[in-house]
Amino acid sequence: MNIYKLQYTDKAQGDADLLAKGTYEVVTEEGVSQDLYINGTQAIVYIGKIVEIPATYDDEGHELTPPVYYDGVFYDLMTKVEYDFGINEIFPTDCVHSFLGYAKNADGTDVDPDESVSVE
Amino acid sequence: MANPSLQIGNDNWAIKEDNLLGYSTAGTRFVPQPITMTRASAGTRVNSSGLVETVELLGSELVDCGNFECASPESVWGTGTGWSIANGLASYDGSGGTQSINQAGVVESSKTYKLTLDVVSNEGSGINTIYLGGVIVSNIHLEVGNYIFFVTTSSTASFAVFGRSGENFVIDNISVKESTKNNLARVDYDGTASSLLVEPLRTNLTPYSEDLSQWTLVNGTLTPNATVSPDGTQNAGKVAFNNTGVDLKKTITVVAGQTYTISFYIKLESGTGLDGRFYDNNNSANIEVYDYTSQIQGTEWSKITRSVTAPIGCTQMQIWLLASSSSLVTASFWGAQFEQGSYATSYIPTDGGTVTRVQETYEKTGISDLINSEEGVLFVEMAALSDDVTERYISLSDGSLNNRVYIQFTTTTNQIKMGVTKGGSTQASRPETVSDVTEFNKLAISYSQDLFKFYVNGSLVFTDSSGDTFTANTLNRLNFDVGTSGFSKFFGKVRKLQVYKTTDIDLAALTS
Repeated sequence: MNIYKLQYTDKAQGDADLLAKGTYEVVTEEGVSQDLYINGTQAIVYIGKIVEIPATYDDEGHELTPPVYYDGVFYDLMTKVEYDFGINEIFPTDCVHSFLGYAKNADGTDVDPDESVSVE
Repeated sequence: MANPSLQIGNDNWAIKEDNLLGYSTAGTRFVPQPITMTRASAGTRVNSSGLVETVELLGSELVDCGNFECASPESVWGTGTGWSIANGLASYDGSGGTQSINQAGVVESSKTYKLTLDVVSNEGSGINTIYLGGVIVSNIHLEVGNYIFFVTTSSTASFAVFGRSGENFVIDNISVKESTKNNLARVDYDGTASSLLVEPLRTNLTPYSEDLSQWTLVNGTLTPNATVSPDGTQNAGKVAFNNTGVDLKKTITVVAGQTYTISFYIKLESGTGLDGRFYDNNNSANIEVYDYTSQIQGTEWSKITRSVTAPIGCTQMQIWLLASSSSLVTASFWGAQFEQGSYATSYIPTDGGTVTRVQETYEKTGISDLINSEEGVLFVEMAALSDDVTERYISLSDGSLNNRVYIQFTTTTNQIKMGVTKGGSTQASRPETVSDVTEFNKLAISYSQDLFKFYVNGSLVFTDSSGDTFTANTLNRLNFDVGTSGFSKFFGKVRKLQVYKTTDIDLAALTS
């Protein structure tokens, strides 16, 4: 399985690139439109903005300083197909999102399920 | 009554990787008809014991004499200087420096395995490295306890665990089994019956679903790992609150205008009038304070759920497992989940980040021999995950929208609909309102030339005496969607699905 971590300026740009690359298509039947995964896509997860510095709040929950976000918006793509996303592909070392059963920082091509440990 | 030519469930479940067992019967013979399924991630279910667990398929035992109780364990285990095997234990006396007990030929390369072992005793603090299949499985000092590791191998190299110089080290019950978690069907138990669970992609946005120490806690004291959780292990945190105005909360990044659903388990020891809360950080205002006392079932574990829509401008929302109460609360919490969507789905564990469970798909193609296109019956006992007024189909088709027999949940509340379409033209169609689509309903379509019937929970609700069916071998696939590849997917629960090649069936009895 291939897992790509992607960064775009905004959601419109990201959606357009993923559509152009053939990861999904928009199908309309009987007036209803749906996004369908195609060409081996297993999941497109729109993560959105990622907080770099959390907001701070007073004792009553009022915001003192707003959160600081990383630039742009983020996606995780799981697919059986290899793509070249160019500058939109990123390689974070401390990921905020993962797929269930895969390591938190799993990305790249031919990714295996998680190597994990639990102690009872 | 005739036997189904294809069926799923009916309390007969079997799974293997990529397949759910469908079956047909021929006389007394049982003929497997594997249904193709995909879900490229792991998933959880409630098992027959009522425990939340990750669905996992384990292969046969690959370690010889892992309990060290066979006749001649020395013949299968390699032992370094200082290791000995006696009385069903493998022991290292620390005399040989860093030495291993090992076994070759255990694993294949590039497969995932579950390795378990018990550490009976261990002195000192030296690292007890474990190798399997060319991978360092563990590189820590192993305290006394039961260990579970999952490892994807890179070679066929031996299993080995090392004792350290000068440290007595005793182990037992070494087991290695091939483990599969992805692409496994989930058979869920609700306390009374089993059903196939089919869910959409969902992401748990709470980064620490079980570790309450990562949540903001005010006016309470947390005891980690105090209570046996719904997964059967003692890993649930208990909180004793010392005030009726409290904080047990987490801030989540959301998208304004989107609907989210929180779910979590609570085991209440004492306290009344428990309130959860959603708070809009951006607008500095409560979105909702809600009393969830009515969802609590005594002192047993209860699953609380509540949906909320992020207001305009809200990108940071505080979700509170407990915000206030009528009297002091002591309770354990576990399995917090906050997901985009109007209803809660099965538990997705997290530990330091958000986690996604990928959607599931089911289909069976190339089965024109199992479907009588000219006349037959499609029967389904199914329940919706939610009355969310979306279209969700189960169908027999030729892979197009033009020729199909279908049953669906519709965009009208608590409505189920049958339909038969031939050559793109509707031959029969009937919506029917049921009391609750989230409860199991038994539905059957009978189709034959100029006669179509729809049975719902034992009653004939529709008859149409005109319309065509299909030429032989037109219908050739079972779909958990509208009839093509993936449009209007079925998400819900299925207890039983049957296809008959005849209409000579007592459908009133079948659907009762």
